Amino acid sequence: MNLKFIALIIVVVVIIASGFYVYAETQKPKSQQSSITVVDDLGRSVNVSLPVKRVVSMDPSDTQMMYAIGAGSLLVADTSFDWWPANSTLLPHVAMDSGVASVEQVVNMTPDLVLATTIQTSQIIDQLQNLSIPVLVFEPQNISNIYTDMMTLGKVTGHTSGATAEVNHMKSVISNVQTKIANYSKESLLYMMWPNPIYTAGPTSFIDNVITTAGGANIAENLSGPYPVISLEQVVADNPQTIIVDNNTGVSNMTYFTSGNQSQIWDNISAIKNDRLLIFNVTESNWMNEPGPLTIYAVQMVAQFLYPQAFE
Amino acid sequence: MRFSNYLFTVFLVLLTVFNILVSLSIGPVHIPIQAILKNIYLYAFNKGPDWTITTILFYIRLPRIVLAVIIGMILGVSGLVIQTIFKNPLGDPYLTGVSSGAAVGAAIGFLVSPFLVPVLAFVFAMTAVGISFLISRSDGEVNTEMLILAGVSVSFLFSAVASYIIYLKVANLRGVIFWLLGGLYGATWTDDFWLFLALMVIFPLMVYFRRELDIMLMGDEQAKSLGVNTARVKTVVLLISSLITSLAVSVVGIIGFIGLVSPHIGRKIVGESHRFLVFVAPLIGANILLVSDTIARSTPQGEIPVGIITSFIGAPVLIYLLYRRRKI
Repeated sequence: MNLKFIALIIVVVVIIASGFYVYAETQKPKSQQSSITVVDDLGRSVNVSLPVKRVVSMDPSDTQMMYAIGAGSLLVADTSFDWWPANSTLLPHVAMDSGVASVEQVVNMTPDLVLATTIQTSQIIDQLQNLSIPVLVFEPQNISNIYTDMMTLGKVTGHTSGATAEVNHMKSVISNVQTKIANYSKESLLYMMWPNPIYTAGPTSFIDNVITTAGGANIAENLSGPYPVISLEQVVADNPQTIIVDNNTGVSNMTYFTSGNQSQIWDNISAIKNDRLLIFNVTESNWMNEPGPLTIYAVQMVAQFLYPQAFE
Repeated sequence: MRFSNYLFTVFLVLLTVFNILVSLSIGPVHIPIQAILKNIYLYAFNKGPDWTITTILFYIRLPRIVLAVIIGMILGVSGLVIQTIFKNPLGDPYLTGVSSGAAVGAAIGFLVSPFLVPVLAFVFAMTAVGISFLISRSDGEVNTEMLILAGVSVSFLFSAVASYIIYLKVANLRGVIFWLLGGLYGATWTDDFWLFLALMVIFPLMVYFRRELDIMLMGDEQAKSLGVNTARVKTVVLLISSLITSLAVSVVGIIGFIGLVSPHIGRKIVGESHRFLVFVAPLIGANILLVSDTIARSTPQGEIPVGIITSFIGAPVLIYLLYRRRKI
């Protein structure tokens, strides 16, 4: 009697346990994959365990890409520089005013994946990798690089369709702009990141890619490096038809050119003579300087400034 | 020896003129010599010169060349008197805290408005110098040994403040870093005018004190026994050299090495006496800075900070002179 009762309990336990086992097996993801290896913009092969549920972003452009592909809800922390979308500012911050993230704070967030740009030093990235926290470094050099980065991000976070949709959206906006401006002759442009000496966006920079995509002819095309200094001589010789000035340069209006101590020089530059000057505000500067989904606004903005007739 | 010293001084003046002319024909935009001469003629006789070439030559290149000569002279002569008074071969014009003071001013300037940078750099440079002098005053006389230590301490303190502001607060790091490395990119005739005026006030004073400086090379006690008012000479010379260095730094940022190396090169050629040195050191400074700046602004990749070039040219020249002297 006693023995029968024990046997019954054992049978019931075995049945329930195997039931749980079968249930648990069916609940497992269908794919056999439990990890994925992707290559980031530094050419590093990074192995990420799936599924990714907690992501820390160490740069606004990474945050923006996450939200744009529909993976924003996976973010558990970002930076104090984040501003878009509005709810990204509500997350805890791991990278503060100095831009460099605190490894302790990142680890404290127990992330499955960390997103960074090259602003973070390699020591920080190595430290996190040594703690078995995968770090993907995204540093798009041009617009098509944003597409590949978004697709990579989509693959890792399980939002491939969201990434594809966002990339297609960006492509259609840009081709729409390019169709409109196709029939106009190219306007030459000086891009000023700093007025004295004149820091500009060189041919290998992301900004140059945006300018070129928007139909501008960057006068710094023959210089080397991403952010070279262009001499005032060169500016006078090239006589640009348009000038764009970034935010935070201290140049807030035309008077810098027309009544500064170099006004004799600037007064005769075509762009200043014809009032073809665009000075970015904070948002516009962010569009230009944070490669990601908002880059399409930068392209639109530059194209509209260069060819206002095309957008009437 | 004396005759050859005269000759060398004249040679330096001619070299400076030659360098100015050569520099005028070199730049990121290539302008052939014929075009330059033709435009000088058209400009002089008001016959409708080419706007692009005229602007580049007379409003961009020439003011910059003149500025290089003036700043080189200022740094050369300041470095000379600092080395003499401190009896320290490592003395340079920034020893009393000028550069770090200016860096704090510039950092605050970049934070508030980039157009305030020169004014704030000058004010803070003089503040740092003032603090160094106050610390090292004893019995109404500047104690040079204390002044070196005070200068170093004040420099470190101001550098820390500058680094803090730049690291945490300044959004445009590029502007600050380029300023800290120094450069003559912003040269205008207005800058040239004011700095030339300052040089013309201060340089004759240095020439006036050249005999006192010679005597002070023998040591303070001996100088006093020969009737030199060492306290007065020291205070006046140090103050005016700090003042003019601050002015130079406020316009072009911190250009290193010229103030250190020009007096040494001069000494190796014309000897220790200030009779010639007070002319030779600034002229050497002018030529090193002019050549360096011409290279800095003419590289095909875009401008590079001039401080890199000054060290690259000045250091080998000094090493060569030291080596040659040793063999003789």
